[in-house]
Amino acid sequence: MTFLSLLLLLTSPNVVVPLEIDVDNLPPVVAVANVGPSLVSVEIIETKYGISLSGALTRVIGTTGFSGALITPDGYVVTTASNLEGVRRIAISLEGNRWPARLVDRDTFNNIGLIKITGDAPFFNPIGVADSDLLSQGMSVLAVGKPIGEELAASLGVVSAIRDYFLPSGYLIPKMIQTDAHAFSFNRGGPLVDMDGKMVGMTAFSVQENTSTPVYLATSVLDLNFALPSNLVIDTAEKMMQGQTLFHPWIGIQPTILQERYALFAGIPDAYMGRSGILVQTVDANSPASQQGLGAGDILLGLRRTRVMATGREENSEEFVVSPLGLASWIRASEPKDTLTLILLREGQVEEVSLRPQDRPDNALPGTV
Amino acid sequence: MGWGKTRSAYIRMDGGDILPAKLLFNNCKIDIAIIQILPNEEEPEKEYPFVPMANSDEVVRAQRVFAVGNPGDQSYQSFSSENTIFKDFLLKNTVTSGIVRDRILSPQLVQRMLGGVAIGGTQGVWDYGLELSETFDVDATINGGNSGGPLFNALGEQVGVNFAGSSFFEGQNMAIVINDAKKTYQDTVDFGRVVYSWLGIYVFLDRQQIEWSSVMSIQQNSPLSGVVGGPRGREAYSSMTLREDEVRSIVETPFEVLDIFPDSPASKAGFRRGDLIHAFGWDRDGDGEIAKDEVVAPEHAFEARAWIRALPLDTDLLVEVERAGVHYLIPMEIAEQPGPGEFAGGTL
Repeated sequence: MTFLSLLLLLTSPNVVVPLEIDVDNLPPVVAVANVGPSLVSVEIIETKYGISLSGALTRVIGTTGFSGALITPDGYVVTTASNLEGVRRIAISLEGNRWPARLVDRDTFNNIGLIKITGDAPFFNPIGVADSDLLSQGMSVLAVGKPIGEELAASLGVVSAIRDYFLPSGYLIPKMIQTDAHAFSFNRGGPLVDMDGKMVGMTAFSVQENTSTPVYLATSVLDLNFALPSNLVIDTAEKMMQGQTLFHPWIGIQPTILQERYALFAGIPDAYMGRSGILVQTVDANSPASQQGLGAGDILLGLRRTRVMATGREENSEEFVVSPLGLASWIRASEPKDTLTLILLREGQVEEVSLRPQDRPDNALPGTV
Repeated sequence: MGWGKTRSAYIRMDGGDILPAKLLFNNCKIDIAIIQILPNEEEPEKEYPFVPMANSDEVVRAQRVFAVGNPGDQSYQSFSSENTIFKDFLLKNTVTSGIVRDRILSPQLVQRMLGGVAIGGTQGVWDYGLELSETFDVDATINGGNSGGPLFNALGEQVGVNFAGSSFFEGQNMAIVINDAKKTYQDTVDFGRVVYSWLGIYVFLDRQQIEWSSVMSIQQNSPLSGVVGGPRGREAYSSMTLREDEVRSIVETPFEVLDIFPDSPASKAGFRRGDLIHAFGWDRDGDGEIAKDEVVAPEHAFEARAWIRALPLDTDLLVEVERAGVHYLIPMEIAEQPGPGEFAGGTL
């Protein structure tokens, strides 16, 4: 809109200029009031058998609780998948009522689990969802959860950063939200909301307590918490609701940085010099990469993706990547029917290898992308 | 801190550019270093974006602040550029938020930090004796690796330099006030060193002084003998934590001359250990002489130190001291505080 047309719009008598609400400066009570009816406590009911003191076989019913958010009026609840490992019976508590629920699906790589409330449940009040792509560093957020039964706990913080997070498994989660809002272990699975109470993320893990993160710390650290972005959570949940198979693209190579002093020895052609720096460290034996003969010591010079569009036209995109993180996010953006062409330097010769990404298996070699 | 004999450094810009830099001055007394990006040969006139600085005296308690830094000092991945391996923080450019809990004076800082295991640069600061005018105590999380990062107010102006957190007390983190850093920068540009106005009177004790006195085996007549029932020598290590009222009794006016720095203005003026300082007078109205009503009592030793710091070198002073029950007015002249090599921590 040009300045002139804006001026005309503002000066014309029949136009009501909407009052812009500064969401970031609303008091936290607004967010808590908005999110309260959609925040649930998820209980896992486990039956354990033990021998009592008198020697009789006894049955113990134990429950563990954590948080989740209602995303549809008919009772779908999202939470973290790590909370739902091997569960049989689930109960959802909300505003004094307790409903039975069943596990719909879990995505262990993205750490997203979907639960559906069963039985004669009424319509629920789903959480409002904000576009996590619109979040920016420094915006105020609240980590909310129901850590102990029905009581809502909220902690205030800011978006510390938005960064692609490389899990030790080699799986990359793009645009994770780092926040300094305190996240207790029972808050996990609970939503991260903006100051209007709309979900922008789902609290997933904290660096200080998760020793399997790629962050190795000598000293103890505080308030380095990560949340999955709401767009990823909602997209994944919708696919789960429709019964679609989830795809986690994987080719099975473990990349490492190629230091430039070695690049000089390797005889990289001038056309690629300084633009690429990835060395294949290992290859998973049961991966698309190993089927195409990739091996340790190959140097990745370039990448090309061929995608057949809905019109039947083929579209090529080429890229040079310089970091393992860049390669991981390039592979992450692939679709099942894409053809990925890797331009390799092997024993002094430039070769092209084409392969299709595969869904990442559970037993993939750690660190492979 | 932690620069040691470092004379070269690299600055990594947000866009990934790596620029050579040099250390201009390391002010160990307040844990502030001034680094300059070396002029670029291709663009000698290149200007870099810079952070606006606020007046830290205007920062009030409970004001919202934001810390930016690279927490987790070992959480880096390496990347290469021009045959050199650099470290890149995994959690670089992290924003944390909080409020200013308090503005505190240095001995209280030492006392508070001793209660917990301090992380960050505090250990190094103690090794030289803390000469900060004051510090901000904030609850914005500061982890190892945040040290040196800026503390901003809500307008995006820098109000402090983050330097320590406590792993025992969550939500107690320290930032150097930006006015101290500004002075270091201005003096480095003007003189190549930092010039502090100074008298040379020991008025409070810090870790370095305790350590110094024990190393030098000055068991008798040690500065510590000024503290009622105070520990001596190595015993001092085990009882470094002073209670709040003990700290207050040491610094409140009239405060005691615990020791005198050799060859200082105080030693030339004939101060003695055990003198009680009541008031300071200087030519406040600029009429060329020090009138009786210009001799004013400070609230405590830190207020006196702030007065002296603000006066130019060679200013004439009249100091009212009490010795054996008799009040004297001692004339003296302000001089420059010696460098950290000679150690003058804990002095006025």
